[in-house]
Amino acid sequence: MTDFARSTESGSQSGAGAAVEPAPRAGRASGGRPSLGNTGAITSVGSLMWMGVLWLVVAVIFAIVLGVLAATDGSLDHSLWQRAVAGWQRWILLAAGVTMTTTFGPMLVGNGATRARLASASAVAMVVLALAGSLFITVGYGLEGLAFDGLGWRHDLRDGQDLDGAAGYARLGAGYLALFAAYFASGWLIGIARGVLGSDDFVVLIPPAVVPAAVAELLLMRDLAGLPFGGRGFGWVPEPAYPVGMLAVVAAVVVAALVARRATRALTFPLGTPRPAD
Amino acid sequence: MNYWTDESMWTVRDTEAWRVDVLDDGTPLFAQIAERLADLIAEGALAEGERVPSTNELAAYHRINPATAAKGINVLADDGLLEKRRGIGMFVASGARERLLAERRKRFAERYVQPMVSEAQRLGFDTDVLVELIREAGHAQEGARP
Amino acid sequence: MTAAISVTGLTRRYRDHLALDDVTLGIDGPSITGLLGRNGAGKTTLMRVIAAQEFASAGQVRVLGASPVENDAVLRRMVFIREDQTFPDIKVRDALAAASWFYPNWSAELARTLVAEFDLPTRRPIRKLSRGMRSALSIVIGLAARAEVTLFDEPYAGLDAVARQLFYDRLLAEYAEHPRAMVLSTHLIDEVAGLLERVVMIDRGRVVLDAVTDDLRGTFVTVSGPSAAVEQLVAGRAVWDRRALGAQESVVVAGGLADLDRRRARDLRLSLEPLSLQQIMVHASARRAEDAPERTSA
Repeated sequence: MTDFARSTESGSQSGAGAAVEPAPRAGRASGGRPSLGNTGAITSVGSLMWMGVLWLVVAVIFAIVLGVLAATDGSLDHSLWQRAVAGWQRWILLAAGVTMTTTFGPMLVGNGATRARLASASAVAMVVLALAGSLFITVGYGLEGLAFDGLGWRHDLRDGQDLDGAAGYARLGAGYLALFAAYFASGWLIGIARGVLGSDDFVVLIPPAVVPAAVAELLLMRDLAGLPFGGRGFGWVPEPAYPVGMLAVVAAVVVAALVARRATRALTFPLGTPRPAD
Repeated sequence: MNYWTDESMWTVRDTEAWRVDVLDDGTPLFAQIAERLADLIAEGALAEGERVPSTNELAAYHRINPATAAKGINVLADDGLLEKRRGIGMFVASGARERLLAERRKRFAERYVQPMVSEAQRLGFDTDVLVELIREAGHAQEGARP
Repeated sequence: MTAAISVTGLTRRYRDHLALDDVTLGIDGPSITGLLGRNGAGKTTLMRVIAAQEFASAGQVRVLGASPVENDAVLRRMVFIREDQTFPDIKVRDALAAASWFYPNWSAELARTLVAEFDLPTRRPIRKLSRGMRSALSIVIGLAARAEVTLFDEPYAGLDAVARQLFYDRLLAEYAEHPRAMVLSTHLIDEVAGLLERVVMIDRGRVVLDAVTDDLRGTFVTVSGPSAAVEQLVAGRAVWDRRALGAQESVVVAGGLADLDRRRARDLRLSLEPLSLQQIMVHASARRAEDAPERTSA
């Protein structure tokens, strides 16, 4: 029985005068309500509900296009997945990041979750969604490779790289995971900036917010298959070794998450209400 | 502020002036609850020794705060008209009805007769006319009774 | 005893206006308190600060003995239902399932009962609910949460009189069974007057009246009749309002009338009319415009 149930039963005659149990101070380990698992599930599954539908539609259209090509005796010697699908998925992750706080903040904080819990749940969603996106891209390449093999087509990437072998796919998957997390992180920061400053003033915070995404673009560019920006116009930028680039992106994402967590504490609800004068 | 334009605000309803002494919205709710319970006891609807509705029952029935209902019950309990039986609730005390009736008889003249007489004087009725009116009203009441 | 809610010198400034101006109030234990005031008076801002959805510019807010800001131990024991509560795009039953994750004392049984009483379609997505149905869903969550501090901010948008009565009845029944500190902000004052143990009236960010409802009833009386007689009766009393029409006058006096005064009024052929809570509220707001707020404390 909870404290409350006990204290309420004793006072059920008139209700007046029954004492209220004092609340423990903040910071004591109390598990939190709702749990990180529950809130993380809300943010992740809530986002995957629309992202999953979108990816399903993309996959179906892609399969149809490929099927039509094969049926009409067409032929390809480069990956279609790379040109038609892989490149723009980063914007989906950016969108998920931008809408994260506005979609789930009112529900979580409005029902008594702490802002810190909202930030942690958003971080969980970042990892889950980036993983899901990376899986979508990698599995897409894999299935396309199998299909091309079956049709006797060459499965080359635009930049001449090839994806043969588990190592190639793992490298690709890890790269997309980092890229998507970085885009989500940028979107997440933009969304919070908008929640804190309102829809007019948040624009000034966009440049710092895009730093994680920019780091990922610049440092992972030529090593990632299917980047629309990768290498274009940035040939003069010395590209670090892949592990170094990865580490830098992970660091940028972690810093972004910490900044987001701190900034989330300034949110007021409902979002977009006027800011204090002081 | 619409209600200020309400015509009735400006009518001097002196015929109703005496009503401020009986129950109206100006009486605290708890006092009204006490008065209702007292009425029930005086009428015999709540017999002596019978259990009185609980605070929560009264609150739900009258749609009022339980604290208000409790206050109403306490007014009667403090007067000794109700008695508490531990763990069961409030019961009508013995002799409560007789005490209430005696009290009301005592207050009858003040509450009903005096205002009536002063109003009658304003209207120019003399005492004989008033007595005759009362007698007529009494006959009408008795005739209406089965 | 730890107070359920304790607000001291709370001020909330926005760029262009003062939403809350030095608000002090305390709600000690279980009670039903009415937070009354005109639209924009600061009721919602006050509740949002108490629920830690908004921050204080100055002053202190304690809920169940501690600051509610980022304090999970406090927040989990409080529920705040806003007017036009927003929901994510999920079904009614999912929203109820999610709510059960948030509130430790959640009563699924009560939620089921209320959903049936309000006739809510559990399988329907929330975005397809009418405004009234969304309000009903919020009310279900607010009551089934059984939180020690329960805040309702005008939760009845789109609800008709029958549904509102159901809300009041269930609120009262729940309170009787599980007493808690309930605060209900409303502008439908006369509808809820009987439910309220206490009223706090706010006008332009300030508390203009904080009193036990029972003490308030009959405290404010409109005395009307011939001017000379009215003046004779109200002499030396706090007059809140005075209107004249020819030789007739109507005066609102604060502080109540003793039996003796009532008898005098009868002899002077004056009409006495107690002010309803709604009318008291109107006068309290009107007075605020003229001079400093006056606290009628209980």
